[in-house]
Amino acid sequence: MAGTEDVRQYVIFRLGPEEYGLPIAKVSSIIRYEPATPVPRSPEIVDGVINLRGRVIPVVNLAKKLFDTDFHPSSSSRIIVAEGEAGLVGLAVDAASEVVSIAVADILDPPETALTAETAEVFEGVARCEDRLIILLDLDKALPRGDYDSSASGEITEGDEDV
Amino acid sequence: MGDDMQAYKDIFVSESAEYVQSIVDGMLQLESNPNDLEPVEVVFRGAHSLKGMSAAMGYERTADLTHKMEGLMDTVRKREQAVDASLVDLVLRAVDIVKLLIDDEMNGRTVTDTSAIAAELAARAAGGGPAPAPVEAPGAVPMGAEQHVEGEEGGTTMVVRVSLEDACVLKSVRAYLVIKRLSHMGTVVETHPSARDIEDENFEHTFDVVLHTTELSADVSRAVSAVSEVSGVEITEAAPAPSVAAPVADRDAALGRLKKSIPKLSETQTVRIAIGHLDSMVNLVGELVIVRSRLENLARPLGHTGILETLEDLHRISSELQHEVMQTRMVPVGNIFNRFPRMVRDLARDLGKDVAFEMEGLDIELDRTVLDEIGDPLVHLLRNAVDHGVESAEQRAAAGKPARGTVRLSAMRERDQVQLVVSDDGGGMDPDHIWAKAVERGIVTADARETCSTEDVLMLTCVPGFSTADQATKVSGRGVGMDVVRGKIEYLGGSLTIRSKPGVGTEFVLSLPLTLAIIQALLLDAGGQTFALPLSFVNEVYAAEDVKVDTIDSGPVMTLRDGRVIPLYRLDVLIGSHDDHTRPPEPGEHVVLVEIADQARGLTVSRLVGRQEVVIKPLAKMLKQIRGLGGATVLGDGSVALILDPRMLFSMGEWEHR
Repeated sequence: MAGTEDVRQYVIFRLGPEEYGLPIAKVSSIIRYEPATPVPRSPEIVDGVINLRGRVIPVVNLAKKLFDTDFHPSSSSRIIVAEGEAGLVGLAVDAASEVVSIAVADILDPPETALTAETAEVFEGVARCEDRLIILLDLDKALPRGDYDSSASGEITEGDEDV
Repeated sequence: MGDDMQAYKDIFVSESAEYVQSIVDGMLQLESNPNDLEPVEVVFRGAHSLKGMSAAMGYERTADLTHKMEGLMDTVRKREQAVDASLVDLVLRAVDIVKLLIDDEMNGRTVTDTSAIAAELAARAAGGGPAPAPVEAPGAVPMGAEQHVEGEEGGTTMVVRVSLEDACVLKSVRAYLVIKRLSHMGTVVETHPSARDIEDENFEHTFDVVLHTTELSADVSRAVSAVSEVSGVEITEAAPAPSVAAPVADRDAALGRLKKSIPKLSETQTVRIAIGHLDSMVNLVGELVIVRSRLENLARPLGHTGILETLEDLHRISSELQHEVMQTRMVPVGNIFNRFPRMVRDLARDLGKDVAFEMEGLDIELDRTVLDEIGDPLVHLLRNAVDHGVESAEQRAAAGKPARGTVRLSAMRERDQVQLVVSDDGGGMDPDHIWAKAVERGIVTADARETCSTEDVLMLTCVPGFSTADQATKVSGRGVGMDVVRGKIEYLGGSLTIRSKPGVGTEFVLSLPLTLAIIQALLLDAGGQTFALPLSFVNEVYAAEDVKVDTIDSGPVMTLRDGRVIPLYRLDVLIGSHDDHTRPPEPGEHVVLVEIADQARGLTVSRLVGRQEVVIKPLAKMLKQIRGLGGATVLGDGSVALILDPRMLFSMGEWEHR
């Protein structure tokens, strides 16, 4: 820390009443919102899939995860294309426009009182940036894993089918 | 410098493996037909090349041993000694040592002892073997040659002229169904216009199919008329034309040529390409095809002749490019089959069994990714066939069978699938025995027996936990159970069926997709969304008005023209956008007859969109577990359509309704 502060860059987006930040290294692009093709029997927070320049990627509705509400697209809505552990994924957000630098020293643990059990693990921390409070997301913890529905996806054995 | 050496080493390893394989192949060929000395040349040259390569790399131990092998083969070549089992054995053992030596060199060791085998080779070369038998008159037919001849003798060739109704919308789909039906009745020799033009709907309302069949023309006519929207069938029988006999003769000739052409070792014009390049080429071409159809959608309304003509060229070129690129990924199954003869031979020896191993269709090609994955399952099935399939000599004698058992591995092309069949003429599987075991292991309950067909019972061997202790011999009990075999095949998008007759033999049929990336699909709408259904599962398409619906056990069923009664499903219910699965097809809706492994089901959809070649895009990891979806594809307008996987789709529905 020899004089210069350790600074990280975050893409800031708005979802409902809050502002969230995602490390810029995780973000591959930001595109205008487009309705996704619904995928039957997918996890509830998956909106569907879209065509991103020839690749088919899932779009996740974080509002469902964070506030248990549906996503209401408007003209400012965007899809943030981020690189998660499980590949590219789109995040539907109400607006996304700026990149801010946040000093590591300004990142605090999230206040415990503000969290519910479901949302606690998806927050990496909060940062005060001028007079705003930005919630920093842990992308991979916010995304559903492939094993969400192991009961229905378990192998049907021949025995099950025949009996 | 070090990098250079490593590069040379890599080349040495891959090239030496080819020569080693050619020596093994040659020796096995010699063993099965000792009078045909052509393979001697292959083995001789293989050993010679290995010697040269090893010497160049400074691998003296390898060079020395291969020199001795070369010397021995030279005496055989000069007819100074005969080929017998002991010679074949000796050379095969020597090859094994060569493999160990190469391994040693790669790891900088000298642990393999070559003195014994080198001495044996030298002794044999010096005249330790039997004198050669007099050369047999040429023209002697090797045993089993007649098995290459098609079983389908006789029959007639007919030209079937099919007319479709003027109002027919999905002409190519109808034509596909007609041709598919005909191909079940005989051999479709050709079509006018060409298959590609029919696919692209480049025909008015009539097309001709030249069919070679043993069926009566009345039966053929009836089968074709049964396809809906076919307005007329006209059949002209041709005399048994030479053009039909020719392919068979040609093929025999080709087989002969194939045998003769084996010795040419260094003449194949190939380039080694990293698989990653091929994969990205396939992806890029896939995207090119998508962009092409988007362009076509944009240009059509403009009606500009110049643009449309140029687009047509683009269409043709990109189709050809796509075809070529897919071809580069296709590899003959022989590439993995070639290690099996040695394996089966050694295994049979270990078990003290006399087994003839036959392979067929080595030139059938499969996508590389499929082929890479299929080796282990095949090894397992072949081991099973030799170990559990073929009986002991005494048992065979008691059953009045020839002492020598036969295990056969064959590859066949069937529509957009390749079938690999592992069969034996052994004791077969006993359904009662299997059932008893399954009950014992708690996989099924004893009283459910009547509801299971014999095939269902045989498939119980593929349920995890079935594999039994008395099955786990040294040979087959190596961790891969039948459940793993079946899992692997289904993972590849294929299916496994077992046929067995007690006392006669067992047949394992693996149906595999030719390629994983591009399929023909029927696009259809349900629940306000477009889906793609792989055309290979589609057997027929009916308008709702033409379907007679009944109810059995509160589930809707439909009766087919041939009297079969099949269950009826609704796609909108299966995808969860509707609840009422008893709702019959309404006017305007269509019923797609989906056939999976001889099981037919009706699938009601709101609208048929058309037939299209689609590029399969994998679904993201978080969506992979969803049953009934095989991936996604991008349509001409840039939107995404999900690809249905009928094999899982219905089990998902059955799950729901119970």
